[in-house]
Amino acid sequence: MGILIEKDLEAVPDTLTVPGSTELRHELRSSRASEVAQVEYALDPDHDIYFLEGGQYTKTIPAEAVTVTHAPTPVRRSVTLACQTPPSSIVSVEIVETMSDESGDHEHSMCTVLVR
Amino acid sequence: MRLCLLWLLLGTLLSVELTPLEAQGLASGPRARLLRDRPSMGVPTGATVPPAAAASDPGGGLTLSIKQVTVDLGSGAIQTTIPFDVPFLLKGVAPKGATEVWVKYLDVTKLKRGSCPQKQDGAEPEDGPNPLEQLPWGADSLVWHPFGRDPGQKDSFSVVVPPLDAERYYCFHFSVQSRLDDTSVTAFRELAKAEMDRFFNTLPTANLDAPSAREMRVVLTRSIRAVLGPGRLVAPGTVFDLRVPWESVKGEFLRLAVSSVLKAQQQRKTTVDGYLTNQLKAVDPLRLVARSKGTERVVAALRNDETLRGVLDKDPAALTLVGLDDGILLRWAAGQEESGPPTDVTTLKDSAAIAVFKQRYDSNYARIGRLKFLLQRLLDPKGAYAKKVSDLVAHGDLVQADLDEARSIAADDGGIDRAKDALERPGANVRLMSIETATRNRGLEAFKQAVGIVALEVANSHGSTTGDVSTFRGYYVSADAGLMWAFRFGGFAPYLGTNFYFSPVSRDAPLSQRGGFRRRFSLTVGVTVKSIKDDAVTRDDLFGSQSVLVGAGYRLRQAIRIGAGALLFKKKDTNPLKTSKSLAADPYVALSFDIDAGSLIGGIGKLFQ
Repeated sequence: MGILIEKDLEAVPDTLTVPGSTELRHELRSSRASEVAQVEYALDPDHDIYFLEGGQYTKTIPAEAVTVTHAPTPVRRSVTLACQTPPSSIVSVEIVETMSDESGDHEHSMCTVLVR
Repeated sequence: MRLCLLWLLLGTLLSVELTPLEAQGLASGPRARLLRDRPSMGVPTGATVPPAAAASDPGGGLTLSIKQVTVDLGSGAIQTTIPFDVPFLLKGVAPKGATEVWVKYLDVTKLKRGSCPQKQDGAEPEDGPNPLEQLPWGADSLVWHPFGRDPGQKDSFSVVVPPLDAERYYCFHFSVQSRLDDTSVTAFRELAKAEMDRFFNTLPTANLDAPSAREMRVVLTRSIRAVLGPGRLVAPGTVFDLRVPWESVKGEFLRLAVSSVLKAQQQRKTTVDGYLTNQLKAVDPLRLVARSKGTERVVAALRNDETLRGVLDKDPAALTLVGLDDGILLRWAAGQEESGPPTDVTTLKDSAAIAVFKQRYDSNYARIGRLKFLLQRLLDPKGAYAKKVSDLVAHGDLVQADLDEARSIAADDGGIDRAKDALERPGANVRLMSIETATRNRGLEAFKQAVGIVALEVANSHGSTTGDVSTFRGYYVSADAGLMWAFRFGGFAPYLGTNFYFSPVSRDAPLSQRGGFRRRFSLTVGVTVKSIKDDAVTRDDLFGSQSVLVGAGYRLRQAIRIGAGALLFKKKDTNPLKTSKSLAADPYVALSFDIDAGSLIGGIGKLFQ
């Protein structure tokens, strides 16, 4: 069993003004017929751009269960990026994704977002 | 009247002979004065002005045709004296293909030998329009563009140079930018792409703040400039032209640098990390199958039966993994060829070469899959070959424990499936790696297209506002005509005067813009046009029917002067018994007009007829 990345993570749109929302998209598949993967997203702790989740500023979006089939499975997640103490001098951030399969193995992907 | 004409002629001859001391040689001094703050006389710096253009003088009401000076860029020669105090048109022939001519100039009078200074080390190229020649030219350049004309042809260029000081030596620096042919541009872009590739590989993250991104642009630009080669310049106006403000190019630069290149690069790094982990993880599951002695003995036993041997021999590749050498097994895990020197896939920049690794993973994945299929088919207790396998066990050719081990390995979710999974992960990694490498390469391709270069030729040229003998007469001496009022004489008298200035004066320069005391004040020597002899014959002319004026003048407007001084004449003694005459002086005030400008002032000449 294992989660495989079919398409790298991408943010649509990949340029936004903070606070602003973007959709994180990619495609996963499983080496098996189907399995549940845990997917979480994280931002670098050293800059001042955060996810805005439920009114809270956070650097990570906790793992969410996603059912992945053997066929490429689109996975999408809307996130809001915000600066806790604007204005921010950040112009580009990485969003790192971690996928954990049922056996506990991890795969990673990432994308960038340009911040106006 | 004859004396008047004689006086004018004398004044003219005198002005020809005048040569100011300053013109005898160059003054020495350690530094040349920069001209960046020089007023532009209302003519926009760098504007292209047709030869017939004119500058008007709001103070004097005169219209002055702009003077032209021609420079030969090939020889660097400016053969005529440069006018001073007035803007002038500097003309030359631009080389074929020229798209821009930058002109800078510097007063080098006080530099040693009055020569153009040499290049200074350590200057930053982004500080000025000519990165190859960072000299103390000042910030402003005069620029010429071939507006609306085909730059493929030789063409004359012209720039308006703001007024220069008199009696100075100037160094003019010309930077001529021209188009390069497509072959040269393409070759350079490949070099630039290699520099970009090298540069981006040094970046650890795509998390960037504005200063880092700006610095990235500067460093990248410098590394590209380092491979420009002589006589070339990053094309103005591009993202790599550091004179273009960061805010103007920020969006395009980040799109090219981050969205097109850095994102794919960071994704590739992430994938490489996954690959390195997964290929190591693949070794043990593969080894579990390869080192399964039970499976090896089962395969050997099956060959004792002709039918079973026939099935095995139909797909010998399926059995490759069974008993596979550890060294080759490691190559399988890494996607390497089974023989020959290994290749580090993580350093490959050719996506097709990376894709070959994926093909090997797929091939071995398929082999393992066929091994499972083969073993399940042959060892299925209810399958077509169950009887023959049982016979092998019955005859002692096959041990039941080995058979159970082989069946376990071939079972669903057994060792072979785990080996397949183990190969599929690094296989998926190299597939992504290939895509990400291709994406990054496309990003670099797009970025390199943003690099423009132009040919750059530079030339220095010397010129001087120091006149020769024939021009000096006009610098210091002028003639005028006017009316004077002598106080004791108590009447007006027309006169012709010669004025001597203490500094060079260009009468073309509007006083409203190039004024100052030294350009207005002069000493005056003149003669009256008409006799001032009185009826009582107590006053007589100094020479014939003319008397002499000695005084000073001050130009109020371009051609109007007020003056004061003494009128010299002969005074007859009041004692009627005495017939001798003595020299006498009578203070006067005067209003006069430059004779050069006199023709512009209608009717003034009638005063002197």
